[in-house]
Amino acid sequence: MKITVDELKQIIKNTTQIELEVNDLLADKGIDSLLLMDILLQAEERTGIRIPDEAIINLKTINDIVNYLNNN
Amino acid sequence: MIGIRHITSFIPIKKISNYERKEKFNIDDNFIEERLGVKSVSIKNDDMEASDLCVAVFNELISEIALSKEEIEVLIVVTQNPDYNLPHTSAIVHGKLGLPETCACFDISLGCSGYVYGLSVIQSFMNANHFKKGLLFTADPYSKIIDENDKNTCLLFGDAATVTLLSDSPRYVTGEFTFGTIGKNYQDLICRNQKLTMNGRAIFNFAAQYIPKDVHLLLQRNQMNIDEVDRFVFHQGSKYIVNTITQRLQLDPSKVAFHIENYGNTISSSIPIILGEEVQKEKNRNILISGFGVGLSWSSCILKRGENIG
Repeated sequence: MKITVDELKQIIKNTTQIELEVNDLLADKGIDSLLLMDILLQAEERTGIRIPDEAIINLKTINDIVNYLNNN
Repeated sequence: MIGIRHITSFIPIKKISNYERKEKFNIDDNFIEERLGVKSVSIKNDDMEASDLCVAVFNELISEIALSKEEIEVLIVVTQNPDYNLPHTSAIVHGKLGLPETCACFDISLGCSGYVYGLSVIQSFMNANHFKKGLLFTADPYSKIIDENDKNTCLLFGDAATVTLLSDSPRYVTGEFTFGTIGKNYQDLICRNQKLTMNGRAIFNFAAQYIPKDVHLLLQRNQMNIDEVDRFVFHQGSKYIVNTITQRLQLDPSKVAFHIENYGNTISSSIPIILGEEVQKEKNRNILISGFGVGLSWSSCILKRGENIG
């Protein structure tokens, strides 16, 4: 299943109460490593796609995550 | 019926503050307080072994309740950081305490699920052998295997020990249990060459995905509604893990225990440290406990207030 930018934004907002734009750097907006784990898990559960640990270093924005999930 | 009579804990006085490690690990107060929930970790003295922690907590126990050493028929230690590979730490504790030679002793090698497993094992053992009093210790001094440069572990884990007196005049008895293992993921939390490593993401995902499901299964086995549980005591992995499980189960946060701020995640001791206080509260008729971690392993059970409340 695919995930949209708006769906991921909503996951992030529900999890962190932080509203982000698609190209905001997650780390710069207060998304620390534990929050990111939680967000990625929810996105994985939504899509059924598993993000390997080694791919996470390249997932710096909402766009990065959505693109990874929808192209793998 | 055998059940929990009393629980006592021992937390070493020596601490390492996480605030003093903010710069080293590039973390802030919010991360320490809201994500880890650990302001400082407790550290045993260098010359203390798991057996010494057990002796220390036993001394606390006998200062709190009347208990004769001659009455103790079984002693179990839950640890994965024993004094030696052999003999079993429980035998060393037995010797240091001067318990009767008729006392059965053995260890259980489990981590964060160990206390819940241990309760099931000691009760079954006592029932099978018609014993009236037994001691279940937890003592897993991770400071022996922590890499002080590993942000994933050194900010989180602390040393402690607990002892639970099981007797035939219990305050709480157990209902049905659940158990589980995902052995294929054993490398996610492992000690190699005396150094602990943890895949924090894998452990988080495991806890977030498996424990809420396990709680529902446990309630079903006990024919209970989630609203009938007065207190939830999950393994205190981190504040974020406990909060995540709370949210996923849509629990009232005021029913969920969390307070490891001043000593950290104490592995198999994390549940009984909190339980020691919770079993004193009259309002807690039904307590749900759930331990999860190394293995990967988990176990949960319901504690029900017994008839013989003293």
